[in-house]
Amino acid sequence: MSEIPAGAAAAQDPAAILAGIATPGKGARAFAVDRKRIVDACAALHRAGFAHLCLITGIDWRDRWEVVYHLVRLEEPEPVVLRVALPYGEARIPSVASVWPGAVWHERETYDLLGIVFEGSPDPRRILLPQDYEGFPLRKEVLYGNRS
Amino acid sequence: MTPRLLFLREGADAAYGRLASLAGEALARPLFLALLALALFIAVALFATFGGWAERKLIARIHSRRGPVFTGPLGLLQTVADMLKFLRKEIIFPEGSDRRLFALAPVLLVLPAFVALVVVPIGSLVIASSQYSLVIALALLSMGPIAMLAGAWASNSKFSTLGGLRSAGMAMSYEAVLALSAAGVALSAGTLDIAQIAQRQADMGVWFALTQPLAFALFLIAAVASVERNPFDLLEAESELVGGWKTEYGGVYFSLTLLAEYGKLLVTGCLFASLFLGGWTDAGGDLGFLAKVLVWAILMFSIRASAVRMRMDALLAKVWRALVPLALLNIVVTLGVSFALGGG
Amino acid sequence: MLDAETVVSLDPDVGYIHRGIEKLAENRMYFKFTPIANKLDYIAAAAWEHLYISCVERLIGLEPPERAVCARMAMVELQRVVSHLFWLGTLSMDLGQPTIFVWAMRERERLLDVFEDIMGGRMTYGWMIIGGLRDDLTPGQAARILAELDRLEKVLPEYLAATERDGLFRERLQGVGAISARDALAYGLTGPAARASGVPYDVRAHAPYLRYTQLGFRMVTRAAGDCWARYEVRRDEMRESMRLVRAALALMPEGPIRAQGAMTLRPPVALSMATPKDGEAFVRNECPRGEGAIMLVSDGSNYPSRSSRSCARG
Repeated sequence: MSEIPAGAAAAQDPAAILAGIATPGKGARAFAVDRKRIVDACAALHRAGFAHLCLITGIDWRDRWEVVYHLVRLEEPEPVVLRVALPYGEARIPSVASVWPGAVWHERETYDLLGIVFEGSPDPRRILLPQDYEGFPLRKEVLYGNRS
Repeated sequence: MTPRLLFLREGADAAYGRLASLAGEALARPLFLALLALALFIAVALFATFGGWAERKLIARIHSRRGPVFTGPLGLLQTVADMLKFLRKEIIFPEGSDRRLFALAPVLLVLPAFVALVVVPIGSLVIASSQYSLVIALALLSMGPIAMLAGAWASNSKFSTLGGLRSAGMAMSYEAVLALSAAGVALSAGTLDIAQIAQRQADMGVWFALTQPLAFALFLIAAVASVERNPFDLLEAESELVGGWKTEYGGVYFSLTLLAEYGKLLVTGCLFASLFLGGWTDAGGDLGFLAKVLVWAILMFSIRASAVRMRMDALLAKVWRALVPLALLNIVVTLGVSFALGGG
Repeated sequence: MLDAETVVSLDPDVGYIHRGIEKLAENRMYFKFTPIANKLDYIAAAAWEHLYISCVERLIGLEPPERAVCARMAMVELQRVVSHLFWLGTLSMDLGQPTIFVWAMRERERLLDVFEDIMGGRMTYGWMIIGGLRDDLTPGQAARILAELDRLEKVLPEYLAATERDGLFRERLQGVGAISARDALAYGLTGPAARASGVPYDVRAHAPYLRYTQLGFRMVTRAAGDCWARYEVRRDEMRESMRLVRAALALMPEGPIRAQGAMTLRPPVALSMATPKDGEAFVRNECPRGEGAIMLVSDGSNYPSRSSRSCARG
């Protein structure tokens, strides 16, 4: 009585699914996606059976932002990794909550700690820090200890 | 049965006799009543103390723990120590609470238990015998919900309110079952006087527990509920409601509620022994009566250690859909049998 | 938001024990972060310690020796048993039954003593190091684990019978809180809760690590998705874990417990040569509460450039 969306083409290769939406990156299951197409990419993968969103996180590279998505299909052990590069001054990206409602918490955390805004998110609040907290602690510009 | 086993009544009669000879008839009566009241208070307090100790020890052993061990030999003085602690605590009135009602509610809870002990036979001793002692006792027991609601409302706190509504609703439902099952026994015995009901069992030669098994079971369940023990202890479901309607009560008031709890346990125990187990009228006499109350108490404690708490809506559903109809059925069957057997 | 006795909506306010783990990670050398990794979930610390350590090992391409792998597996699965005992106790406590809480905690205490003996701590350890183990698992300790498991296998059915044969217990759990498989996946529910809803997802079967394939790991699922199903899943997982501990101990060969270049807490000889520039590792483990995932991004230094962890939701 499992209602898991069965990948009608479970054998479909992620590269094939993402043809035209993403470009291959480092590694067989890694792809670079443009910010504007991330929702399309996620939706296409979700339709093809990538039912489990494992992690959405952000990286501060000091000269650019990167948002990383790890998606899992229950039939295969290797996750697909989508990477979206964002210019340093524009930390905004569309939300994928329309594909996985559970993405909201990942996105809220990324916003809370790094300040990347997820546009169109049904719940854009901070999740861990108090709502009136100012600043984004995980950014490299915030100094803590002897580094970063 | 041999009279010497009815030491409770004999003792009281003898004491009254001595008092009358010492102080004269006119003074003796009020003085004796005052002494009896004091004795009653001490009895309930002792029951609360040592009953509390017994409960904690028993439950601890079921848990593979030791229970109280440090205060006094075998931890016997633990409840005393707890009482002293409560008495020394600061009395806090919640902000916005109705002080008079807040202070009154625990008293309202304790009084019925004490007053009930005046009409309920404690062994062969009945302080104020009455033809309607069963009705009076049940009416007094059902004052509990009123006190709970008063305390809950007076506390001005949302935990208390929720808890109070839950407790009152639950208590009212179970009082109904208690009364209806006792009614079955009363109908069978043809009297509303508890002492007479106990006597009937001696005359019949058999306990009502055996001739009214349904009422026996229902009374047992309802009594566990009326003393708010597992599985019916939502009132103090700490994980859900903090303290229920008692949340805001500390210090003296809290110890009053504990006293009330054990008082009720004692009253229902005496009722149970008299209504279903023949009270003091069989071979055991007063000693047997005390043993039956002891068995009742141990039963309560064991049930507490082993049962899971019932959910509120499931609880109420069980009462109104199963227990009350069964109690009514019992009454119907009792009436039917008595008409069939003897007419009228 | 309550409607009489029914909860209509809920807004969890989380983050009170967040502690800024990722920022801490960026400020500590890899081998110094292990104690903090333990505290990601202090009720199941061994699982998260292993998750972090294996992530670093993946990053620098270091394989621990076989003996260390088997010993780690035994402790991780034993940790799962301990975590599930804690669950059993707190479940009973929440249902208003402190008796089973006390019994479950007592069994847990015995295993915590075993942890202290072997790993150096009752709840948080620092026993797994990058490249192996700090201390070896002696034959005496292995025998002690087996003795404790024997005892647990004898008493656990007693406790479980007390719960399962209790009609009130079942009534509180059956039909309550049903979650469909679709909802579970949509909201990112993992672990025993997801498996109780019929989602066949267990990282030990899905992307096996340690020696799960070799020891024939059997995933436990149920279809109903209610509290009772979640109870059954965790109960059966306890049994499976006890079997896996025995099997792992039996599989453990003689040999070294540290690989060449393993990093201990004592000052290392050389450290930065191992961490690759622009390296990245993403590892998932099945922690007792659900899926745990750690991503480490390296910039070639002794410190992580970015570490991110996905909390177990279950």
